[in-house]
Amino acid sequence: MTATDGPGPPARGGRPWLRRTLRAVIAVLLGVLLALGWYQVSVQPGAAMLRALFDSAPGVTPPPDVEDARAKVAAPQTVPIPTPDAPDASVVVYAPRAEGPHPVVVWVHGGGFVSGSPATVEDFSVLLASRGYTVVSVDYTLAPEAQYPVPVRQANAALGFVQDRIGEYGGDPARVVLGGDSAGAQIASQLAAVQTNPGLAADLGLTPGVPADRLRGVVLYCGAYDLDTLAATGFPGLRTFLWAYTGHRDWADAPFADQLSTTEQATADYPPTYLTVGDADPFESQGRELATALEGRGVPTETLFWDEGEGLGHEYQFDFDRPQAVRSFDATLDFLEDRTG
Amino acid sequence: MTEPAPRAGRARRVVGWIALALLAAATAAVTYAVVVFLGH
Repeated sequence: MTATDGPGPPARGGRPWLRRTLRAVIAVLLGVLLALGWYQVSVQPGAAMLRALFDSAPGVTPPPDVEDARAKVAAPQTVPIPTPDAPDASVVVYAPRAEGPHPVVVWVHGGGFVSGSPATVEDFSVLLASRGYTVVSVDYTLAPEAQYPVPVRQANAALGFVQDRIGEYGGDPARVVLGGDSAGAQIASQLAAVQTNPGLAADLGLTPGVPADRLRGVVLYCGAYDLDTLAATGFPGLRTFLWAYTGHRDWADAPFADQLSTTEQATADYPPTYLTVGDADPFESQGRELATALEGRGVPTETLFWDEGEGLGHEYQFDFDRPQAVRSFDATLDFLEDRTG
Repeated sequence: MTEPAPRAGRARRVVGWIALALLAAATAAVTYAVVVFLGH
Protein backbone atom coordinates (compact mmCIF):
# COMPACT_ATOMS: atom_id res chain seq x y z
CA MET A 1 0.00 0.00 0.00
CA THR A 2 2.69 2.42 1.03
CA ALA A 3 4.93 1.68 -1.86
CA THR A 4 2.26 2.72 -4.31
CA ASP A 5 0.46 5.48 -2.38
CA GLY A 6 3.38 7.19 -0.66
CA PRO A 7 3.73 10.90 -0.36
CA GLY A 8 5.73 13.13 -2.61
CA PRO A 9 5.29 15.19 -5.69
CA PRO A 10 3.24 13.20 -8.14
CA ALA A 11 5.45 13.52 -11.15
CA ARG A 12 8.91 14.87 -10.67
CA GLY A 13 10.39 12.58 -13.18
CA GLY A 14 12.92 9.91 -12.21
CA ARG A 15 11.62 6.79 -10.47
CA PRO A 16 8.70 7.49 -8.13
CA TRP A 17 8.41 3.81 -7.20
CA LEU A 18 12.00 3.88 -5.94
CA ARG A 19 11.34 6.97 -3.83
CA ARG A 20 8.25 5.38 -2.33
CA THR A 21 10.00 2.13 -1.62
CA LEU A 22 12.83 3.97 0.12
CA ARG A 23 10.37 5.85 2.28
CA ALA A 24 8.68 2.59 3.23
CA VAL A 25 12.02 1.04 4.15
CA ILE A 26 12.87 4.07 6.28
CA ALA A 27 9.48 3.80 8.02
CA VAL A 28 10.14 0.13 8.78
CA LEU A 29 13.60 0.91 10.13
CA LEU A 30 12.22 3.70 12.30
CA GLY A 31 9.62 1.26 13.64
CA VAL A 32 12.29 -1.29 14.51
CA LEU A 33 14.44 1.34 16.22
CA LEU A 34 11.46 2.67 18.14
CA ALA A 35 10.59 -0.82 19.37
CA LEU A 36 14.15 -1.65 20.40
CA GLY A 37 14.50 1.65 22.24
CA TRP A 38 11.19 1.17 23.97
CA TYR A 39 12.25 -2.32 25.02
CA GLN A 40 15.30 -0.88 26.75
CA VAL A 41 13.52 1.96 28.50
CA SER A 42 10.36 0.55 30.07
CA VAL A 43 9.08 -2.80 31.25
CA GLN A 44 5.48 -1.62 31.56
CA PRO A 45 4.23 -2.24 28.00
CA GLY A 46 5.83 -5.67 27.81
CA ALA A 47 4.43 -6.68 31.17
CA ALA A 48 0.99 -5.45 30.14
CA MET A 49 1.23 -7.38 26.90
CA LEU A 50 2.24 -10.61 28.62
CA ARG A 51 -0.43 -10.13 31.26
CA ALA A 52 -3.08 -9.79 28.56
CA LEU A 53 -1.71 -12.88 26.82
CA PHE A 54 -1.79 -14.95 30.01
CA ASP A 55 -5.19 -13.69 31.04
CA SER A 56 -6.66 -14.79 27.73
CA ALA A 57 -5.64 -18.42 28.32
CA PRO A 58 -7.44 -20.80 30.70
CA GLY A 59 -5.46 -21.38 33.89
CA VAL A 60 -6.75 -24.89 34.46
CA THR A 61 -8.51 -27.30 32.14
CA PRO A 62 -10.42 -29.24 34.78
CA PRO A 63 -11.41 -32.90 34.74
CA PRO A 64 -15.05 -33.74 33.95
CA ASP A 65 -15.90 -34.33 37.61
CA VAL A 66 -14.89 -30.87 38.81
CA GLU A 67 -18.51 -29.95 39.60
CA ASP A 68 -18.79 -32.99 41.85
CA ALA A 69 -15.64 -31.76 43.57
CA ARG A 70 -17.09 -28.26 43.90
CA ALA A 71 -20.09 -29.65 45.72
CA LYS A 72 -17.75 -30.90 48.45
CA VAL A 73 -16.18 -27.50 49.01
CA ALA A 74 -17.60 -24.44 50.76
CA ALA A 75 -17.85 -21.20 48.81
CA PRO A 76 -14.43 -19.57 48.50
CA GLN A 77 -13.79 -16.84 51.06
CA THR A 78 -11.54 -13.89 50.35
CA VAL A 79 -9.77 -12.84 53.53
CA PRO A 80 -7.63 -9.70 53.80
CA ILE A 81 -4.66 -10.44 56.03
CA PRO A 82 -2.76 -7.15 56.36
CA THR A 83 0.46 -7.20 58.32
CA PRO A 84 3.09 -4.50 58.89
CA ASP A 85 5.30 -6.42 56.43
CA ALA A 86 2.57 -6.84 53.85
CA PRO A 87 -0.30 -4.36 54.21
CA ASP A 88 -2.02 -5.52 51.00
CA ALA A 89 -1.82 -9.25 51.72
CA SER A 90 -4.93 -11.27 50.99
CA VAL A 91 -5.86 -14.93 50.60
CA VAL A 92 -8.75 -16.97 49.26
CA VAL A 93 -9.72 -19.95 51.39
CA TYR A 94 -11.22 -23.11 49.91
CA ALA A 95 -12.48 -25.24 52.79
CA PRO A 96 -13.83 -28.78 52.56
CA ARG A 97 -17.45 -29.08 53.69
CA ALA A 98 -16.49 -32.22 55.64
CA GLU A 99 -15.68 -31.66 59.28
CA GLY A 100 -12.02 -30.89 60.02
CA PRO A 101 -9.43 -30.30 61.10
CA HIS A 102 -7.91 -30.70 57.67
CA PRO A 103 -4.29 -30.38 56.60
CA VAL A 104 -3.59 -27.05 54.95
CA VAL A 105 -2.14 -26.39 51.52
CA VAL A 106 -0.92 -22.84 50.95
CA TRP A 107 -0.76 -22.32 47.17
CA VAL A 108 1.02 -19.56 45.28
CA HIS A 109 -0.28 -19.14 41.72
CA GLY A 110 1.86 -18.63 38.65
CA GLY A 111 1.70 -16.10 35.85
CA GLY A 112 5.23 -14.84 35.38
CA PHE A 113 4.89 -12.56 38.43
CA VAL A 114 2.86 -10.19 36.23
CA SER A 115 -0.46 -11.99 35.93
CA GLY A 116 -2.76 -14.56 37.48
CA SER A 117 -4.74 -14.72 40.69
CA PRO A 118 -6.32 -17.35 42.94
CA ALA A 119 -9.15 -17.44 40.38
CA THR A 120 -6.70 -18.64 37.73
CA VAL A 121 -6.08 -21.83 39.69
CA GLU A 122 -9.48 -22.07 41.35
CA ASP A 123 -10.42 -25.41 39.81
CA PHE A 124 -7.14 -26.89 41.07
CA SER A 125 -7.77 -25.47 44.54
CA VAL A 126 -11.29 -26.93 44.49
CA LEU A 127 -9.95 -30.35 43.47
CA LEU A 128 -7.48 -30.30 46.37
CA ALA A 129 -10.11 -29.09 48.82
CA SER A 130 -12.51 -31.82 47.70
CA ARG A 131 -9.85 -34.33 48.73
CA GLY A 132 -9.81 -33.03 52.28
CA TYR A 133 -7.30 -30.16 52.26
CA THR A 134 -8.02 -26.64 53.35
CA VAL A 135 -6.49 -24.61 50.55
CA VAL A 136 -5.21 -21.10 51.18
CA SER A 137 -4.55 -19.45 47.84
CA VAL A 138 -2.28 -16.42 48.10
CA ASP A 139 -3.54 -13.31 46.28
CA TYR A 140 -0.21 -11.54 46.04
CA THR A 141 0.25 -8.18 44.33
CA LEU A 142 1.48 -8.52 40.77
CA ALA A 143 4.57 -6.99 39.21
CA PRO A 144 5.53 -4.44 38.16
CA GLU A 145 3.04 -2.68 40.46
CA ALA A 146 4.68 -4.53 43.36
CA GLN A 147 8.18 -5.90 43.16
CA TYR A 148 10.37 -8.33 45.04
CA PRO A 149 10.17 -9.07 47.91
CA VAL A 150 6.57 -7.91 48.31
CA PRO A 151 4.99 -11.18 47.07
CA VAL A 152 7.30 -13.19 49.35
CA ARG A 153 6.25 -11.06 52.32
CA GLN A 154 2.59 -11.49 51.39
CA ALA A 155 2.97 -15.27 51.08
CA ASN A 156 4.74 -15.29 54.44
CA ALA A 157 1.80 -13.37 55.86
CA ALA A 158 -0.44 -16.15 54.51
CA LEU A 159 1.58 -18.68 56.52
CA GLY A 160 1.11 -16.48 59.58
CA PHE A 161 -2.62 -16.35 58.88
CA VAL A 162 -2.67 -20.14 58.79
CA GLN A 163 -1.00 -20.28 62.18
CA ASP A 164 -3.33 -17.73 63.75
CA ARG A 165 -6.71 -18.27 62.15
CA ILE A 166 -7.02 -21.33 59.94
CA GLY A 167 -8.87 -23.15 62.71
CA GLU A 168 -11.85 -20.88 61.90
CA TYR A 169 -11.94 -22.51 58.46
CA GLY A 170 -11.51 -26.09 59.60
CA GLY A 171 -7.78 -26.23 58.95
CA ASP A 172 -5.03 -27.70 61.11
CA PRO A 173 -2.14 -25.23 61.60
CA ALA A 174 0.20 -28.05 62.62
CA ARG A 175 0.03 -29.71 59.20
CA VAL A 176 0.95 -27.25 56.50
CA VAL A 177 2.24 -27.81 52.98
CA LEU A 178 3.43 -24.95 50.82
CA GLY A 179 3.18 -25.14 47.05
CA GLY A 180 3.05 -23.20 43.83
CA ASP A 181 3.24 -23.32 40.08
CA SER A 182 5.64 -21.54 37.73
CA ALA A 183 6.44 -18.10 39.18
CA GLY A 184 4.43 -19.19 42.21
CA ALA A 185 6.73 -22.19 42.57
CA GLN A 186 9.70 -19.83 42.66
CA ILE A 187 8.03 -17.79 45.40
CA ALA A 188 6.91 -20.88 47.32
CA SER A 189 10.31 -22.56 47.06
CA GLN A 190 12.04 -19.43 48.31
CA LEU A 191 9.52 -18.97 51.09
CA ALA A 192 10.15 -22.54 52.24
CA ALA A 193 13.83 -21.62 52.39
CA VAL A 194 12.95 -18.54 54.45
CA GLN A 195 11.25 -20.83 56.99
CA THR A 196 14.29 -23.08 57.30
CA ASN A 197 17.28 -20.84 56.56
CA PRO A 198 17.71 -18.19 59.30
CA GLY A 199 20.30 -16.33 57.23
CA LEU A 200 17.87 -15.84 54.35
CA ALA A 201 15.09 -14.82 56.73
CA ALA A 202 17.43 -12.25 58.28
CA ASP A 203 18.47 -10.93 54.87
CA LEU A 204 14.81 -10.40 54.03
CA GLY A 205 13.97 -9.06 57.47
CA LEU A 206 11.24 -11.66 57.80
CA THR A 207 10.06 -13.67 60.76
CA PRO A 208 9.10 -17.10 59.41
CA GLY A 209 5.33 -17.36 59.26
CA VAL A 210 5.22 -21.00 60.33
CA PRO A 211 7.42 -23.02 62.71
CA ALA A 212 9.65 -25.30 60.65
CA ASP A 213 8.25 -28.47 62.24
CA ARG A 214 4.75 -27.52 61.09
CA LEU A 215 5.78 -27.02 57.49
CA ARG A 216 5.46 -30.62 56.42
CA GLY A 217 6.35 -30.36 52.77
CA VAL A 218 6.67 -28.37 49.59
CA VAL A 219 4.96 -29.02 46.24
CA LEU A 220 6.57 -27.37 43.23
CA TYR A 221 5.22 -27.36 39.68
CA CYS A 222 7.45 -26.12 36.87
CA GLY A 223 9.23 -23.32 38.67
CA ALA A 224 12.47 -21.38 38.29
CA TYR A 225 14.97 -22.05 41.03
CA ASP A 226 18.44 -20.98 39.92
CA LEU A 227 18.98 -17.47 38.58
CA ASP A 228 22.50 -18.30 37.44
CA THR A 229 21.21 -20.74 34.84
CA LEU A 230 17.78 -19.29 34.24
CA ALA A 231 18.57 -17.23 31.14
CA ALA A 232 19.87 -20.34 29.41
CA THR A 233 16.40 -21.89 29.57
CA GLY A 234 15.25 -19.46 26.89
CA PHE A 235 11.85 -19.24 28.52
CA PRO A 236 9.68 -16.88 26.42
CA GLY A 237 9.33 -13.43 27.94
CA LEU A 238 11.77 -14.20 30.74
CA ARG A 239 13.52 -10.84 30.64
CA THR A 240 10.26 -8.95 30.96
CA PHE A 241 8.97 -11.17 33.76
CA LEU A 242 12.17 -10.85 35.79
CA TRP A 243 12.63 -7.15 35.07
CA ALA A 244 9.08 -6.51 36.22
CA TYR A 245 9.56 -8.61 39.35
CA THR A 246 13.03 -7.51 40.40
CA GLY A 247 12.87 -3.94 39.15
CA HIS A 248 16.23 -4.50 37.48
CA ARG A 249 16.51 -4.57 33.71
CA ASP A 250 19.60 -6.75 34.09
CA TRP A 251 17.80 -8.98 36.54
CA ALA A 252 20.63 -11.48 36.96
CA ASP A 253 22.75 -8.66 38.39
CA ALA A 254 20.17 -7.55 40.94
CA PRO A 255 21.86 -7.20 44.34
CA PHE A 256 19.47 -9.74 45.83
CA ALA A 257 19.68 -12.25 42.94
CA ASP A 258 21.20 -14.90 45.20
CA GLN A 259 18.18 -14.76 47.49
CA LEU A 260 15.95 -15.84 44.61
CA SER A 261 17.94 -18.99 43.85
CA THR A 262 16.45 -21.75 45.97
CA THR A 263 19.22 -24.02 44.72
CA GLU A 264 21.53 -21.86 46.85
CA GLN A 265 19.24 -21.02 49.75
CA ALA A 266 17.83 -24.47 50.55
CA THR A 267 19.62 -26.06 53.48
CA ALA A 268 19.55 -29.59 54.88
CA ASP A 269 16.55 -28.42 56.94
CA TYR A 270 14.49 -27.70 53.83
CA PRO A 271 11.11 -29.48 54.01
CA PRO A 272 10.51 -32.70 52.07
CA THR A 273 9.69 -31.75 48.53
CA TYR A 274 7.67 -33.01 45.59
CA LEU A 275 8.75 -31.61 42.23
CA THR A 276 7.37 -32.07 38.76
CA VAL A 277 7.92 -30.42 35.38
CA GLY A 278 7.12 -31.38 31.80
CA ASP A 279 9.70 -32.75 29.40
CA ALA A 280 8.97 -29.98 26.87
CA ASP A 281 8.95 -27.23 29.48
CA PRO A 282 11.90 -24.81 29.17
CA PHE A 283 12.12 -24.98 32.97
CA GLU A 284 12.73 -28.73 33.00
CA SER A 285 16.42 -28.18 33.70
CA GLN A 286 15.49 -25.88 36.61
CA GLY A 287 13.41 -28.62 38.22
CA ARG A 288 16.14 -31.17 37.78
CA GLU A 289 18.71 -28.76 39.20
CA LEU A 290 16.70 -28.15 42.33
CA ALA A 291 16.02 -31.85 42.79
CA THR A 292 19.74 -32.56 42.53
CA ALA A 293 20.57 -29.78 44.99
CA LEU A 294 18.00 -30.96 47.53
CA GLU A 295 19.01 -34.60 47.26
CA GLY A 296 22.63 -33.56 47.68
CA ARG A 297 21.72 -31.91 50.98
CA GLY A 298 19.80 -34.94 52.18
CA VAL A 299 16.33 -33.41 51.78
CA PRO A 300 13.71 -36.08 51.06
CA THR A 301 12.76 -35.33 47.47
CA GLU A 302 10.14 -36.93 45.25
CA THR A 303 10.12 -36.13 41.58
CA LEU A 304 7.93 -36.71 38.58
CA PHE A 305 9.99 -36.08 35.47
CA TRP A 306 9.09 -37.36 32.03
CA ASP A 307 11.00 -38.98 29.23
CA GLU A 308 11.65 -36.86 26.22
CA GLY A 309 8.89 -37.18 23.65
CA GLU A 310 5.88 -36.84 25.94
CA GLY A 311 5.53 -33.26 24.75
CA LEU A 312 4.48 -31.92 28.14
CA GLY A 313 4.87 -28.16 28.17
CA HIS A 314 4.76 -25.53 30.86
CA GLU A 315 1.94 -26.02 33.38
CA TYR A 316 1.03 -29.42 31.94
CA GLN A 317 -0.11 -30.25 35.46
CA PHE A 318 -3.26 -28.18 35.00
CA ASP A 319 -4.38 -29.67 31.69
CA PHE A 320 -6.56 -32.47 33.01
CA ASP A 321 -7.40 -33.56 29.47
CA ARG A 322 -3.95 -35.18 29.59
CA PRO A 323 -3.52 -38.43 31.50
CA GLN A 324 -0.11 -37.17 32.62
CA ALA A 325 -1.78 -34.31 34.47
CA VAL A 326 -4.02 -36.79 36.26
CA ARG A 327 -0.94 -38.79 37.20
CA SER A 328 0.78 -35.65 38.46
CA PHE A 329 -2.26 -34.78 40.55
CA ASP A 330 -2.42 -38.30 41.99
CA ALA A 331 1.29 -38.11 42.85
CA THR A 332 0.64 -34.78 44.53
CA LEU A 333 -2.15 -36.33 46.60
CA ASP A 334 0.10 -39.24 47.55
CA PHE A 335 2.80 -36.82 48.68
CA LEU A 336 0.31 -34.74 50.67
CA GLU A 337 -1.08 -37.86 52.31
CA ASP A 338 2.41 -39.08 53.21
CA ARG A 339 3.40 -35.71 54.66
CA THR A 340 0.22 -34.81 56.52
CA GLY A 341 -1.69 -38.04 57.09
CA MET B 1 -11.32 25.41 -12.55
CA THR B 2 -7.65 24.72 -11.76
CA GLU B 3 -8.31 23.94 -8.02
CA PRO B 4 -9.17 20.22 -8.08
CA ALA B 5 -5.80 19.02 -9.37
CA PRO B 6 -3.60 20.49 -6.54
CA ARG B 7 -6.17 19.43 -3.97
CA ALA B 8 -6.07 15.87 -5.19
CA GLY B 9 -2.30 15.89 -5.10
CA ARG B 10 -2.26 17.24 -1.54
CA ALA B 11 -4.77 14.64 -0.41
CA ARG B 12 -2.69 11.90 -1.95
CA ARG B 13 0.40 13.15 -0.12
CA VAL B 14 -1.43 13.22 3.21
CA VAL B 15 -2.68 9.71 2.66
CA GLY B 16 0.87 8.69 1.82
CA TRP B 17 2.32 10.12 5.02
CA ILE B 18 -0.41 8.52 7.09
CA ALA B 19 0.33 5.19 5.45
CA LEU B 20 4.03 5.58 6.26
CA ALA B 21 3.25 6.45 9.87
CA LEU B 22 0.99 3.41 10.15
CA LEU B 23 3.67 1.23 8.65
CA ALA B 24 6.22 2.50 11.18
CA ALA B 25 3.79 1.98 14.07
CA ALA B 26 2.84 -1.52 12.97
CA THR B 27 6.49 -2.44 12.54
CA ALA B 28 7.25 -1.08 16.01
CA ALA B 29 4.40 -3.05 17.58
CA VAL B 30 5.32 -6.32 15.91
CA THR B 31 9.03 -5.89 16.62
CA TYR B 32 8.29 -5.04 20.24
CA ALA B 33 6.11 -8.11 20.69
CA VAL B 34 8.80 -10.31 19.17
CA VAL B 35 11.63 -8.96 21.33
CA VAL B 36 9.50 -9.18 24.48
CA PHE B 37 8.60 -12.76 23.65
CA LEU B 38 12.13 -13.79 22.80
CA GLY B 39 14.02 -11.66 25.29
CA HIS B 40 15.72 -13.35 28.19
